Amino acid sequence: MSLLAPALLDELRAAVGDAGVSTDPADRDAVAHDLWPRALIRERGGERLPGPDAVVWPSTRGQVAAVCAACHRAEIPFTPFGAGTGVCGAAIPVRGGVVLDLKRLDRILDWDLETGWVRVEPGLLGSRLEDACRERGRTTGHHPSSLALSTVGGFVATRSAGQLSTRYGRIDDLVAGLEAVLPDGTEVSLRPEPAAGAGPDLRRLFLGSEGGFGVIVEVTLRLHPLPERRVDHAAVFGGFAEGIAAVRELLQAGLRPSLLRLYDLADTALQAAELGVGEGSGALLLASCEGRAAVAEAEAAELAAICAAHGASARDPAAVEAWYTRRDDIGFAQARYLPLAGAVLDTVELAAPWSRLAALHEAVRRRIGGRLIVLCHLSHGYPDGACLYFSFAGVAEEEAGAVPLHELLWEEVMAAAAETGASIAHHHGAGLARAPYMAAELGAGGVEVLRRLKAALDPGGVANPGKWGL
Amino acid sequence: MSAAALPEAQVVAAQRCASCPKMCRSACPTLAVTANERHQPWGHARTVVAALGGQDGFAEPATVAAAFACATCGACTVPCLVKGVETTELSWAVRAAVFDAGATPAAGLRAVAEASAGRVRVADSPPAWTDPAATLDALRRLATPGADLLLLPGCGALGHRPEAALAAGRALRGLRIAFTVLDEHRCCGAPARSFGDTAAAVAMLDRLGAAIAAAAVRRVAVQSPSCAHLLATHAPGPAGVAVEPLAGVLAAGLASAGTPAGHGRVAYHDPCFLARHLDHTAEPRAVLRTLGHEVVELRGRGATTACSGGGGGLPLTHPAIADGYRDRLAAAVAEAAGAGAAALVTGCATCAARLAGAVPVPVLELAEACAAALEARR
Repeated sequence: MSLLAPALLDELRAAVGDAGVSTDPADRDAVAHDLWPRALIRERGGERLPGPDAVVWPSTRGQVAAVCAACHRAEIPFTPFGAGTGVCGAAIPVRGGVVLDLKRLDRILDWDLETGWVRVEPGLLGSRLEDACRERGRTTGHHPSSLALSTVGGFVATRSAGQLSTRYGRIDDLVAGLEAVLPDGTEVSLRPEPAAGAGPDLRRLFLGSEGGFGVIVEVTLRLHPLPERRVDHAAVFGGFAEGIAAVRELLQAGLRPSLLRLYDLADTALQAAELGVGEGSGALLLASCEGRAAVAEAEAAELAAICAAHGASARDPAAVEAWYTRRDDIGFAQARYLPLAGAVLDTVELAAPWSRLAALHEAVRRRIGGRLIVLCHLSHGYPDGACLYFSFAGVAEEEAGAVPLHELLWEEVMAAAAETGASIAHHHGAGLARAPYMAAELGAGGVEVLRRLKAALDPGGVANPGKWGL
Repeated sequence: MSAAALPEAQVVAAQRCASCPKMCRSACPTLAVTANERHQPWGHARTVVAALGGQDGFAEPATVAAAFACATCGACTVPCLVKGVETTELSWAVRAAVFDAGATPAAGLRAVAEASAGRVRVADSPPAWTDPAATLDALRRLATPGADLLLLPGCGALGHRPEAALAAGRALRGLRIAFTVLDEHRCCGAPARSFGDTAAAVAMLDRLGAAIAAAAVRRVAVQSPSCAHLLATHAPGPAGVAVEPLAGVLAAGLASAGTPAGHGRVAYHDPCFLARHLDHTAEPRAVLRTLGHEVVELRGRGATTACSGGGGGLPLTHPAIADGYRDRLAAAVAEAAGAGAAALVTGCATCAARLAGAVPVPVLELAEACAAALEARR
């Protein structure tokens, strides 16, 4: 039964039509959580998260504005929802209210191929956008493993990064402009620009905002020509440290491979069998250089030379193609193992400068190893550092121990980040998973800025409340 | 019957599907139409898991609604690589559990009763059924008694588009392929499977098998894709009787008959059961090309073809969702028409009936296109 006042429900129905509002428990239950593993483990244990009081499906930005304004006036929380595939709980309506499902806002509005922009609505699935781009000889270059199951709005709201971000950039780099609806229904247009310097970049205010500053209703993304050539390179280093040194050197030398993944020894042992690259000792590097043929070939040659100089032995580049064929398949493993009683599976992505990267790797392994399987790969490289992407798997002795084990996992990983001065997130967002650690991440001053921004833009506190630790 | 009615393998499948990060969501037409998170395999599987531990079991209204909000088109099976999960099989198993719990929608129960009585559905909204004897009589006049090929039009052709069933006979006759038809219509049981009545499905399949045996034929050409799939996978007839989709028989006949005069560009729509479940995509195109048509491919073809929404009983239980399927497919046809397709040809009479009038070009079932071209040659 919905706890919303009948007057508000009437107002919502007036805004989006009767078919655009549901208080059906089954509809509400389906958006009670995203794919945050903590929520999935709790559900496996028999718990049902309460969910929202209503689900609303707007199909125009005007309808979004009307719904936000109605919630603002009624002091009822609302939570934007795309595909519900975030992994940090950002889309969980912890205080009930209205879930604003944006899937009907899924149009491609405009192409400016001369400039290299595409204007889209937030509910558009990433794979649909990429298919349309490819028909026009373009790509956004943004390919998270969740491409076919996540939305453009979700990419922007969580500041995601694709597998090829070393060349194409994070979503932060791909957003040329956006339009949003503030929590009180005010519409804001931040027009696309190749660059702009008048005051703070307000577009960035909404990157990673997870609905806390309002609802993103339109995004203009940058496009790249499809690469003329891709040159793959696979190599094995004697150890993870040697691999890190090579990756740092090639990035600081200005190389920008599209694919750049360096697996630690434990992950290499697993990947080598999957990809057919020998016995699995050492640290496996998979890389691709792409773009104009001559440039890609030259870049790949430089990359191979730098790797060799750090003692790497080259492997059959077919391993890279094998990786591409299964690049998005990790979710199938989750489907198989998550139903097992006591199972704990999760991934945590951290970022650190080169000078602290090895220490971060060591700290996470020291704190978690022995309790759970710990695999790690370096990806998303920058001249000054990189992301370390950790995968964890383990089983609690009984189902009741799964949530505590998951809590312990996060406590320890976040402690490892604090211990080594690493960032607690690279591209999965903050949500509920990182809410307890935001103060350490942002510092007291940063939290105060965030608090004041939230209070200014959302004085009623209705826009996805309960996140960021505020 | 309790929730334990679901076979253990399907319990595991449902648990895995409900634990998947929605890997098939981009393929599911029900989700595309409804934009409702609950209406995709992940959401439907969650209702199954809830039913397994719930007080009302498979009679739980949310479980029942989810069980039938699907055309069993199999689009979700293409991206799914979860070991032990075959979503269409899971869907049929859940429907059987719902039936055992006594919660099958009344429209479904009636559909099973009508099919058991040998009647075919001629309209979806409001639903109406008829005895197809007149169409079979007309078809029999084109047939050759004692032929070793049995033409089985199926409920879809006999009900939704009897002219397609007659065209099948005309096409075979035009190709000088002798065929026979059953004395009376026998449903293969697909409607009963769609609504979870396993006993009725088995009984219908057995009766059809007996009828095929009595016909003493060596081959069966099946026109309706869902029938072709069910007969190909369950082989009800006597051993040694080959079952194949009609499209394959037409393609082979045309190959040996020479090329008749052909005309223009047509778009071809792959029916779900023919293309996705039976991997039968080359033969219909061979028919069209041999007839001299240039085939314009739709956005979504072969394994990723779009469903018209006519399967799985969807038009009876969730007509608005079924129409949403059709409208998505119609948009793809309109796009093909814009690319020069003068007509749409589909390998499914039910699809043809659903699309006629909803797209900007004439719609033909494959046998209709074949018969018309052969007759134009004479």
